Amino acid sequence: MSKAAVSGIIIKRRLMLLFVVMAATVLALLMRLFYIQLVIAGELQAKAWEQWNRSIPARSPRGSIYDRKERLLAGSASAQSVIALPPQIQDKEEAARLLAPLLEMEESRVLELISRRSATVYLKRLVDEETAFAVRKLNIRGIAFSQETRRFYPHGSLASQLLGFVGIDEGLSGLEHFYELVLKGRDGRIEFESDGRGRRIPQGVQSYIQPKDGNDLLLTIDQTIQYIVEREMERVMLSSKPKGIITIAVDPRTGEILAIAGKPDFDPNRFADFPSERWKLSPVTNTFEPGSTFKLVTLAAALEEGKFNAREGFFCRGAITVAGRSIGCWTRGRGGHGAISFEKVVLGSCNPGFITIGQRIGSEKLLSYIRAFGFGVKSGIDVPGESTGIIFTEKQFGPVEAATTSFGQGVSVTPLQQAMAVAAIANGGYLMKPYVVKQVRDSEGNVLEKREPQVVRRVLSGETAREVTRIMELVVTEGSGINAYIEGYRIAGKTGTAQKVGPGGVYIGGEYILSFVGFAPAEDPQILIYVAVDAPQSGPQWGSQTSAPMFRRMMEDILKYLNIPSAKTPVNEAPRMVEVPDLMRLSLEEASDVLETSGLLVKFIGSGSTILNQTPKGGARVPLHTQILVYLGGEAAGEEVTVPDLSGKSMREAGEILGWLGLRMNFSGSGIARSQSPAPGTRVPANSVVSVEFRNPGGP
Amino acid sequence: MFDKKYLRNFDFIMLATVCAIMLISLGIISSATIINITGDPNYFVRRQAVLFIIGFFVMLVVITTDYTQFYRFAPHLYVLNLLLLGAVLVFGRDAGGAQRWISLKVFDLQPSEFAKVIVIISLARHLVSREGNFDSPFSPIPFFLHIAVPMAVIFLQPDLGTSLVFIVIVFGMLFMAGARVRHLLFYAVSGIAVGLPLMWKVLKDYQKMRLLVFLNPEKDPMGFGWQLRQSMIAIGSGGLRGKGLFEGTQSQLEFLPAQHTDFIFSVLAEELGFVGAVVLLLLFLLLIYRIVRTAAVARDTFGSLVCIGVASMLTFQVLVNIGMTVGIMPVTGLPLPFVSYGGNSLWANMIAVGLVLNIGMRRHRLMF
Repeated sequence: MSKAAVSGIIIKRRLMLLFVVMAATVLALLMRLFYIQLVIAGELQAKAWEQWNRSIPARSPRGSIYDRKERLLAGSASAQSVIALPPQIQDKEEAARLLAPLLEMEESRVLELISRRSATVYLKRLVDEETAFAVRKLNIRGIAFSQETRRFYPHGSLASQLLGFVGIDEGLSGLEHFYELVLKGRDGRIEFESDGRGRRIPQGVQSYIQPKDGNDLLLTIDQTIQYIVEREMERVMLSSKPKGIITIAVDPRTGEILAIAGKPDFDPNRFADFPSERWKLSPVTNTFEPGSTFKLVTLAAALEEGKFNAREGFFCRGAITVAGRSIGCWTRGRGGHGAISFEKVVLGSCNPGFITIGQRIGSEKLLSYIRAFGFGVKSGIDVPGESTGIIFTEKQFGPVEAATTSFGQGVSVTPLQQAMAVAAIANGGYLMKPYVVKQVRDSEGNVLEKREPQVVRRVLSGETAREVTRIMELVVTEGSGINAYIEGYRIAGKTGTAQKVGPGGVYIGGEYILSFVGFAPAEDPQILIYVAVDAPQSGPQWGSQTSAPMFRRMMEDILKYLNIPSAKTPVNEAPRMVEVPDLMRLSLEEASDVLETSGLLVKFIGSGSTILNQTPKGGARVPLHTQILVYLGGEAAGEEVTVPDLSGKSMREAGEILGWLGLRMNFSGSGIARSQSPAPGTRVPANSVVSVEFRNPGGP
Repeated sequence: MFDKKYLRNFDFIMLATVCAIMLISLGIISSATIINITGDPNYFVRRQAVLFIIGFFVMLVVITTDYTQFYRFAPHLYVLNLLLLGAVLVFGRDAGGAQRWISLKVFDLQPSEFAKVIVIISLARHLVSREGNFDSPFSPIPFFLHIAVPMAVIFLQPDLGTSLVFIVIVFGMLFMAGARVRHLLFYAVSGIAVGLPLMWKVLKDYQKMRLLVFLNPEKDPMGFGWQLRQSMIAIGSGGLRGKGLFEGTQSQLEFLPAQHTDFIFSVLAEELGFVGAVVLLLLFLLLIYRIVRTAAVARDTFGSLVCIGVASMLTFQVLVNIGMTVGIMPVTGLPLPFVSYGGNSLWANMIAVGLVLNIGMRRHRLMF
C-alpha cells in the first residue's frame, strides 16, 4: 500500500479538479432552482392553485318570476343531487348494488359512474328528499350531496309558453331562456382539496363559497288576466277543436303585455312530456295572413290621408277588377253588398270597398303606413324567437298586391304585430314597443332595472285614431262584431276570417283563421285583446261565431277584474234584445251573412248544407248572444245520429230538436233542461230515447 | 480495536452534516407521507427513523472496523455482490416492471444499492494493484470490465440510473488513480457513441418514454410528462420561502408521484422553498467537500480512492435526482442520498460515509 508512484502534486491537483466539478454540479442545480423558484415561480404557483381546488358546484337559487302583482309564476325549490367521489369509494360493487335501486338506475350504470377516473361524478341530479335521505342513510364513504335548486311552476301550464322552462342547468325556452343571465345568479362552490388522483383528503379544508342568488323578474303579465284568457281558450279548444288558439292582451297605453298565450301548450313542470312545437310562444313566433283585422290599417291610413268619407256611397257587386284580375268579396255568392256607404264597407268588411280605399291612398303611401304600424319588422319584445313577418317590397308592390294587402291578404304578420298595430289606434296613434318584463330585482327586492313604456313612433293623429275607434265601435254594436258586445261598455273591435295559406302559398280549402281584435273601454282604452282561432273543426267557421264570443267572455271578466265601471245601471237591467232571423231553407253561406250581425250564437246540428229547421223560430225576440240551434239535416232517419246538447232549452224546444233528429224524449221535472242522458255528442241509433231532466231556473 | 486517538481525527463535521441532512429528510418524509395507504400519518417517518438508527449501528460497525479489512475481503465482497445481484434476477420481487428487490419478510433487500459501495471497495483495491501503470491507452480497460459485470446485471433488472452510477464511479476513481485524461476522454466519448445506440435497443419502452419526455415534456402530459410537470409546479410554487412544512399543496395532495422516495426533493422545495433547497444543497456540498478532503489526507491510495468513489457516487446521485425534479435530467428513479425514504439506499450511503469516516479517522499510522 504505497502511494509513492503517484506524485503528491498530481493528487492534489486532481482532487482539486474533481471537487471543482462536483461543486459545479451543485452550483448548476442551484442555478436551475433559482430559475424555477424565483424567476418563473408566479406562473407555476398559479398552476398549483388551479389544480389544487377541485370543486363541486352548488347551484345558485335561480331568480323567481312574478306577475305584475307579485304573484309567483316560476320559483325554485331546493333539491339535492347525489355525487360520487370515485377514489374514496372502497367497495364499488357493493356501493353500486345498494345505490342502484334507490336512485332507480341500472346497477351497471352506477358501477360505471363510480368507477370513473375522475374527482367527482354526478350520480343523479335533483333527487327528492326521501331519496336523498335513503342514500344518506346508507352512509357510503365517497357519496356526497350537492344542494341544488329545482324549478317549479305553481300554476302548471299557465303562461307556460311565455315562461318557458329550465333544463338541468339553464333556461331552455321562453323567459327562462331569454333572461337566463339575469335569473341564473352565480354558482356557489363546495371546495374539497383533492389529491393527484382526485381523492378528497380527510383533513382537507372544505370551504363553501356562497352562491349568489339570481335576480327576480317582475312581469307585466297579470296572472288573473292570464288565467281568464287561458280559461276561455281552453273552453274553445274543447268545444271547437281548433288546431290552435292565440291570445294577446295588452295595455294599449303602455305596450305592457297583460296576458299572452298560445294553445295547445305544455306544463313546464313536465316539459319533456310534450312535443317541442308547443314550447314556442306562438303569438310571437307564428306568422299568418291577418285577413280582415288588417283592414283597420287601411282604414286608418285612408282617414289620416283624408281619403275616407264614411258617408260616401259605394257599390259592391261581389268582385272588383284590378289590373285585369277579378278579386272577389266574401259576399260574392249573393251578389255582393250592393249599394252601401263607405262606413258600411268597414262594418260589412267589404273587400272591393277596401281595395277602392287602398287605391285612393296609393300603393306607396299604403306600404309606408303598413311599415309605420310595425309590420315587417320585429317588435323587439323581450321573448325569444320573435318572427318578422313578410310584407311586400316596393318593387313587388303592384296594383294586385296593393289591392289584396288592402284587405289583409298576401301579407304575413305575427299576432303580436297585429295587436300592437291596433293598440296604436286605441291609444291615440302611438306605436308602442311591447314588453313583458317590468322590473328586474335582486334577491333582497332592490330594483335593479325598471322598464318604462317606449313609443316607437307616432303613426296616426289623435283625430284619426278616434274616428277609427268610432267605426270599430259600430262594428261591435251593429256589425260583424256584435257577438263581442258587452252590455254597459263601449267596445271597439274587428273580426277577421282569413283563409289559411298552406305551404307554397296555396290557400287551404275549408281552413280558416278566425280572429278578433278589440279594446275597451272605447272612450279610454285600457285593455286590448287579440284572439285568433286556427281552423276550428266543429262549429261555424266565422269569426263572428267563434273568436268574437271568446273575446267577449274574456273582456267581460277582465273589465270586471280591473274594476272598470260599467255604464249599465241596476235600474236599466233589461238586457238588449235581438230578433231571431228566419233561416229556414237558407244555404249555409246565406245564413252566415244574415247571422253575422244578428248578435246570436249559432249551434249547428247535422251536417247538410241547407237549414231545415231552427229554434227559436224566426221573429222571436231573445236576449243578445242567445244560442240558437240550427238543423242542417243530412242525418237521415234509420241511421245513427248525434245526441244534441239540450242544456238550457225549454221542454218544448228540446222536444222539437230531438224530433228533427228522429229521437224521442223521456222527460222528468219541468222548467229548463239541466241534464240529459246520453250525453251530448253520443252517437245513438235513430229512434232512441233521450232522457232529459228539467228544473225550474232558480229552483234547487 | 478502537483507540481514543482516532477520535481526534474523527470528522465530526462530516457526521454532523449527514445527521443534518437526515433530520431534514425526516421532516420532509413526515410531511410527504402524512396521508398514506396505511392510514397512520407517522408510519413512514417512524419507519425511516428506525432505519436511521439501525443505519447508525451499521455505520458504527463500519467505522470501527479497520478499513484494511475491507481491502482484504474486497474480492469476497465482489463475488458476494454478484451472487446477490444474480439472486435478484432469479428470486427478485417484481415492483413496477423492475426486479430490484429480494424480499426478506420484514425488509426488501435491494442489492444494487450495496453493489455500488462494494464495487467502490473492490475497484479501489484493483486500482491500487495497478498503481502507476496508466501509460497505455488500454490500461483502463480492466477496470471497465471490473464494473461491467455488476453493472450489466443491474442494467438487466432493469435499473438504468444505478447502472450509470458505476460509470461515474469508475471514471472518478480512474482519474484519481492517475489515468491519463486523454484516455479517459476517449473512452467517455466512444462509450457514448457506441453505448447510447446499443442501450436504446435494450431499454424498455417505459424507460425510453422517460428519456423522451425529458427532451419534450409535452409528449406524455398524463404519464411521465405529468410527473415532471407536477414536480416543476411543486418546486416553482414553493418560491423563495416555501409554503411551510406540511403546507405544500402539490405534495400534500399527492399530485407528486413517488413523493417520499424519488421526488422527495420536490416536496422539500415546495414546502421549504429556495431557502430550504439551498440549505440542503450546501449541506451536500459540505459533505462532498469533507469526503474529498478525507481523500487528500488518507494514509494510502486505497483510502483516497474509496473516498473519491464515494464522493463521485454521491455527487452523481444528487445531480441525477435533483436534476430530474427540476427538469434537467431524465426521470431515472435514483433516490436522493440520505433524504429519500427507503432503507437500502440509506444504509448503503451510511456505509459509504462510514468508510470515509473510517479512512479519515485512520489517516495516520498509529504509533505503537
